[in-house]
Amino acid sequence: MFDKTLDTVTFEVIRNALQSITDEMMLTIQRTGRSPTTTQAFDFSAALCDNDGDVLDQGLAIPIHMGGIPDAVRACIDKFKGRIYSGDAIIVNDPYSGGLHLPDIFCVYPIFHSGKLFGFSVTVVHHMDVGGRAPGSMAHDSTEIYQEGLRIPPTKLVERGVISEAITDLIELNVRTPEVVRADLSGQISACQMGERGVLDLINRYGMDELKEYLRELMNYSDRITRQAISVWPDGLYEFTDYLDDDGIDDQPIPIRAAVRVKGDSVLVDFSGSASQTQGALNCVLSQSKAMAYAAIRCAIGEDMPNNSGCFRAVEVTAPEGTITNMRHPASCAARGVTSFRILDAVLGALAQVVPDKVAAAPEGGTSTGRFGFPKPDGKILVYYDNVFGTRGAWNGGDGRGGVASVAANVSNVSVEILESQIPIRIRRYGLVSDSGGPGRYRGGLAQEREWEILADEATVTWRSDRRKYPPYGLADGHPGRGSRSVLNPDKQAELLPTKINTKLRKGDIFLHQNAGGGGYGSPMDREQERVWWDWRNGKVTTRHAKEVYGVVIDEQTGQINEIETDKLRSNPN
Amino acid sequence: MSAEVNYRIGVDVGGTFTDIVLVGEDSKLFVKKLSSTPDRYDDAIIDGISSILNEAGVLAVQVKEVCHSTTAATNAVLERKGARVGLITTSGFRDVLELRRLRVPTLYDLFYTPPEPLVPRYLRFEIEERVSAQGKILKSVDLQEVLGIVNDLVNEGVDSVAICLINSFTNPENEQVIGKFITERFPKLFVTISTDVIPAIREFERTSTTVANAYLMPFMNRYINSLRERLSGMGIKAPISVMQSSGGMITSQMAAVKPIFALESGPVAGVAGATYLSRKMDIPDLLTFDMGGTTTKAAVIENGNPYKSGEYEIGAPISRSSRLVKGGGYLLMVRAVDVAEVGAGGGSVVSLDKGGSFQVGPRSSGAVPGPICYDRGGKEPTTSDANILLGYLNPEFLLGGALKVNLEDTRRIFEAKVSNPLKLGLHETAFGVHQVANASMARAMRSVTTERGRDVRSFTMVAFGGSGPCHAASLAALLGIRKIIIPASPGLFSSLGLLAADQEHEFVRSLMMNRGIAHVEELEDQFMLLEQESLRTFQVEGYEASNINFTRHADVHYIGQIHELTIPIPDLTPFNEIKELFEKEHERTYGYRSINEQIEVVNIRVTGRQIIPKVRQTDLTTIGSSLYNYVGKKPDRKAYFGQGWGLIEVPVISRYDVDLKYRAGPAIIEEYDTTIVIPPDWSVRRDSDWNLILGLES
Repeated sequence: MFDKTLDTVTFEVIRNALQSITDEMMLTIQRTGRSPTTTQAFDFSAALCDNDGDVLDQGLAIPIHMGGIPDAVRACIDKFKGRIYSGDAIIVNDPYSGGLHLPDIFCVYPIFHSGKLFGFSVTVVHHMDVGGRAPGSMAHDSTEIYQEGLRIPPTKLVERGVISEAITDLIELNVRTPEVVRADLSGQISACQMGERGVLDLINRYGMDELKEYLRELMNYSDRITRQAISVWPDGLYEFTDYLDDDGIDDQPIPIRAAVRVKGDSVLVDFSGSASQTQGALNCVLSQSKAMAYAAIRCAIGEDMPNNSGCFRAVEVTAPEGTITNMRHPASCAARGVTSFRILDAVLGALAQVVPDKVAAAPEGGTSTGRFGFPKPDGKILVYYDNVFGTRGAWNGGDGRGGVASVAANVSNVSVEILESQIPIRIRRYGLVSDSGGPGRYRGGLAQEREWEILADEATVTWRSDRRKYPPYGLADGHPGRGSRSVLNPDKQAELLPTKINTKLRKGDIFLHQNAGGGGYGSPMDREQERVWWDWRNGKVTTRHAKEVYGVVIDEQTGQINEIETDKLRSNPN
Repeated sequence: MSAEVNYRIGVDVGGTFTDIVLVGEDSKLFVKKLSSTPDRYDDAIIDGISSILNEAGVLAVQVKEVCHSTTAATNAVLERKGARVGLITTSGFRDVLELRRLRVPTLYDLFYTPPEPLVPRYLRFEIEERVSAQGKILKSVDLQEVLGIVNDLVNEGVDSVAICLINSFTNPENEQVIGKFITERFPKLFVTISTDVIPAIREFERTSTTVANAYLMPFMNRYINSLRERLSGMGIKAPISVMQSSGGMITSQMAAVKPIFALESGPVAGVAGATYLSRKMDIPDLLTFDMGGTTTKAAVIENGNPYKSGEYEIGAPISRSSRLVKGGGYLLMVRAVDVAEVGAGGGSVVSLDKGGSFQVGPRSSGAVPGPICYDRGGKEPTTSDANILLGYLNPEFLLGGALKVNLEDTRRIFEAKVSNPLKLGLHETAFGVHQVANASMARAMRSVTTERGRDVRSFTMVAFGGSGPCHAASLAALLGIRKIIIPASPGLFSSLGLLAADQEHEFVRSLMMNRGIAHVEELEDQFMLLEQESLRTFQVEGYEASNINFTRHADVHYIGQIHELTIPIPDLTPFNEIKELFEKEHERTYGYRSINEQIEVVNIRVTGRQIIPKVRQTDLTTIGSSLYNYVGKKPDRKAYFGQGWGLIEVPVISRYDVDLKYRAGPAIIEEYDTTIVIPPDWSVRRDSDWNLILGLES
């Protein structure tokens, strides 16, 4: 199997070295960053690519970005063929020219050795603002890409070490938070340079040609592991359709259909039958849909392997143009994150038929995320970000958890205290929601809720959520999790808000969001009584829920299970 | 034996071994290594101290100080043997502890399950109170409500209470009111108040830290009291000091109240020893390489001081991967020597994977059954087995003859499980294992150097721990390091390090300042206040004010950054100079500075250090001679150094055979607690203090 002309030791040494380099790049972005997306939420990625754009190694952060990096690099190569120099930093964010959505700015940094192009160090950061209709550039209700902010085709921000004043000025004039964007871009370049240094060390040690051979072998190695895993999957066609509630403009459900064909040691994922591209900004470029199919398949494989393009050679992905999974110009896409998560859910739903014990019930369905904009006295706008996120589905053998990031985006929450110290908002509550986990023999994770009180005279709020009408699915007779909710002023008029909003709030307004609970696995009537009791003891299920859904009767006075009543209910569930 | 000589004892209790050193004012050193007794850690301590005193002919009254580091508290967390803790927190926030920071340490794992919180949800109580981000009390505490909560907690059998309220770092009043009330009304309860432990921003990190302290407080109290009683029972009434994770010592009384500051103290003790060497040998920049059976640890000493970080995790599973992926353990926002750890050590198991490659670690064969060569039933090839097959370790006996090596089984199993499947020769395979272990350990070395913008090649390596000296030269070569120091008694270096550390207290104050030069006086005032606080603590412990030395640091960042750089601040530094100091460090660490941006001073820190009193003036670097004044002639043997050198004859010598002038490799130096390998392209000499210095020929 292993290429015998290479030596396994050097192979392992180089594998470790690459991971060190991408780790260093990640840490540089996080530690130098200014926006909450970089410093706190980890919404960024770093990778090393070869001169074709194939990923040699990606840091452990956002699988959503993984599929996008090769396309971004290739777009830069195509644009500047023959004009790529040492000391260049090429940026791109336009989804129709290699990007994903406008807030994600890629920085592609060529690495040369002795005048020869080795490859690229690449960073992609979700920036705090790139202009457009709403503070934070994440409005769901833009209907064409032109409304969403500054579109950057592959552009040399730095050429031969000289930063372009024209490009810098242009960017800073078009975004609401120029200082933050500038600093985060500096961090990206700094991280890329760190990647360059690390790679040059490796080239000096092994020579470019020998190093490239090992890098090829690293990709072959990931490919081998992937194919070995897939080859034991039963051949066949497996289909699953999941839904987005709406696009925030009309309330029609949006189907995402995944057809997974397993054949020998490879997989074809076809998104035909998914909805046409939407009016609202929920559309994905093809590289995005690919990334999610890849992520789902890697989860189902469950083997540790180097994080490179070789992991996905055995996987082919197709999606008809003009659908939400492969958008056509000038469709809008700022809020496409939620669609990516649903694509993941759909592919996993299909894979649950292939390898039932390797797939969990659906998680919360993606980040509920928002941007808060506050006018400042100097006429500028203060923009901040927050999210409610990280509730997982149950699987055969374990409960899902509230408070664990999605496999698709390993991001963090924003500290309440840091948020309160930076913007005029008070967080009134951040916690788990009782009875919200999808009932099952193994329970889905509990939903989380967060309440924001506006302390300024006025604030612009965009908030994107989903999974209200179509809550996270359960598996093997497990029930879905409870759907999400957004409420304005829950203690007063308690106005139920749509899943996706772009609105103005005033001083004293309180905005509450609960994300969805994770799906359950197996029948709730089969859940061990002790587990139901422990959930009750910890306030994760109420007495009534325990009785009605799980058939477990708990005496609130004694705090014990009433075994006679429970046996009655459980032996005769109706 | 003169009864006037004063002695000090260093005790490092690890998971496997308890190491004890006894050092006299006259530089006499005695050492003892015995198995730890995890059911009751002080059994091994008392046994060891009794026998070392006997062997040395030293009386209990001659012992003037016992310096201690222990894994006991860390293990109490790992084994969930801590207290039953109740948490009191602000209404709306009882799940902060459980929700953590969401991030997980592994990608693509649908079944990831984080560790259970140290306080279950039903013991986390919310109280109606609120402090604003600016420190204004929006709602004060109702003591009737507190009483109700504490009664509930007591009814639930709680014996330790953690109090952590939102924004308390801006104004600790509400927390203090609750804490005072509980202490007065329920004197039997242990109480930890977040702002007493760590008054810094970020609610999850502060809550987690406070809860961990509450969790360990009753345990540490019992541990310290029992140790003190038993030492006293054998006639040792000397004060007990405990190593802090920051590298300084605190009194055992303080360690009992703030146990989280004394976690991970064993690894840090080794770094403290290396810090001492750095100052003594005048080598300002050192990289420590501490290789044990299961893990390898790395830390950096820069300008004679260990590099520290602001938080770390305990109880996370050891992984091969980096520190980037946090979330697997319990987070502590405690300033600690930044020790990077990877799951590669002498006992790390070699495994083949499906892709046709092999890996070393992170799984370890542990103390039992251990490597195959130990002949205690181990059936899985490990790093140490590879080192035996390479001829690096003695193929007959280890530990000065105490351990018989089973070479036959080692060879047989190694061939069957590793070299035959890989279709490689035995020596090539063993050498490969040795190097793959190095590659893994190199990640730890790089994570404390290159990941912070330091060139790893500019450091001198200090190698210790049982297996460190065997891998030091080959690992250094991989990293581009050309000079290595192997101190005297490398296998017991951590316990020696205990005797080298100063008594130390660090005090922190959180403040957000982004204003101009005019505020230098305010900053000066704040530093002075902290110094007074520090001084009072020392005085309470019985130290004289005149012997205390203060250093100042500030945690600074650009506005909007979340991570700070800690900058040493000379007295009376104007604000604009702080900016310059910060930007210089930012440029060095991250490669750029932002000229137009404003900075913020987030925290200021004062470290009070007690200048070593008379009893501590033993020069630890002079003790080597008492250990190495013997000659032992051993037969030469063949060792393998890769395809270039092949299998060659290597002289086996003792440290005593090494001269002050360089001697060319190859050579193998065998000692009681370690084996030092000098490859053919390296040379070795010793200094007058019996430290070995290895150099790579250019």
